[in-house]
Amino acid sequence: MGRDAPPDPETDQNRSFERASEVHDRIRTNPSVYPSGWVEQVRFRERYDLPPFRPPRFADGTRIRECTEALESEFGVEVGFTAIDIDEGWRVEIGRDPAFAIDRYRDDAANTVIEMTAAEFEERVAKAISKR
Amino acid sequence: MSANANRHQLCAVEDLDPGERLLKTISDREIGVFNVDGEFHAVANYCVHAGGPICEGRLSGKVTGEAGEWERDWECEGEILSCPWHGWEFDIDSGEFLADSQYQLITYETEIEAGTVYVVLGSA
Repeated sequence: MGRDAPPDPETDQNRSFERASEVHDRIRTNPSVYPSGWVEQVRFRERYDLPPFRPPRFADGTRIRECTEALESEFGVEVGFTAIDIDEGWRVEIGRDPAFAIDRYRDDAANTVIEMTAAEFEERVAKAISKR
Repeated sequence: MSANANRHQLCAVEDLDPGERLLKTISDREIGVFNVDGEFHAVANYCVHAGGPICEGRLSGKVTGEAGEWERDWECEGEILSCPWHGWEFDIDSGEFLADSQYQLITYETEIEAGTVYVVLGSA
């Protein structure tokens, strides 16, 4: 994977994601019920008139946070994302140990998308944990 | 994580040499931490211009000089972060856009304790 490329509306317009503007508005109007990182992004984007924020997602639209929290609860181990050498891209860490590489990009609204479905991710995490 | 719920472990000091960086997701934030001559700086991975992945951009310096003078200097090598999307340049320490300080990246405090680098969220 290389560095993130500028957004390409042509390739993003058909993705069946929840509209970023709707998610953004919900976070803005009721910040106390959302993670502080999401609220921070909403405020940042409003300050600089940036595209609406949508929490990081997998290719099928599943929110990363929901997926990783479920995995952490199931397996009792931390699941995170790290890039040490940006030219080599991002990787998944399980219990702070490197597990596998992932491809990701920023969409047309400058929001992060991981290029695999949540089901694929869950399968790979489970497989990696079984080998630990 | 420490007793401070806003403080999160990033890496061991020895794992990030001067000039190196680490990107990490913490509490659904994408954060870049940079070792600049032994000082650790943490920045949110979003550019003020178009939301690009600023922490994946080039680190370099900047040209300085007096107005009306021909002489120019190259300063702050390794302290200027440029966005890979459109090249906007920022001071890695303050987070300020070089051309207009009213534009500012989200930055976080870092702490070092017992050889470990921590980031303090909510410190922007």
